[in-house]
Amino acid sequence: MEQATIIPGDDGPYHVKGDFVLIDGEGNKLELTDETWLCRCGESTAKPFCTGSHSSCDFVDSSRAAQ
Amino acid sequence: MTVEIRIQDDDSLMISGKFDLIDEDGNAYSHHGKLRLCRCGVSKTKPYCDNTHVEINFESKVRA
Repeated sequence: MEQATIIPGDDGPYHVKGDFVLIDGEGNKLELTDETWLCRCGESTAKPFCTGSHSSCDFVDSSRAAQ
Repeated sequence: MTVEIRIQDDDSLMISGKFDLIDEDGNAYSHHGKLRLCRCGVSKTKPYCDNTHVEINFESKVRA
């Protein structure tokens, strides 16, 4: 599988693809997938996944990776 | 090598492993190790975590 990539979308979620696993706060794996969108506005009702809530909470971030 | 993304309780995403962080301009930044990404939405250094989640009492405990 391809190396994992994480794209912080402008004013939206993290788009994650490739070889990765999601692990909860107790160390258990979430459902396996090779592509997902993770909330980064803090307002999703189904965290860690994006539910589109960023559109209604005026989340703004289009900063660029710097390292 | 599989990258681990830990959804930390009331805290950031902890990314561990070798991966590329790619911005919307298509610039790729290779990472190898650990990196914390904001998920409370309020970090002043997005996409990175700056611990602002503590100040706003961010609450999210994800369970599989």
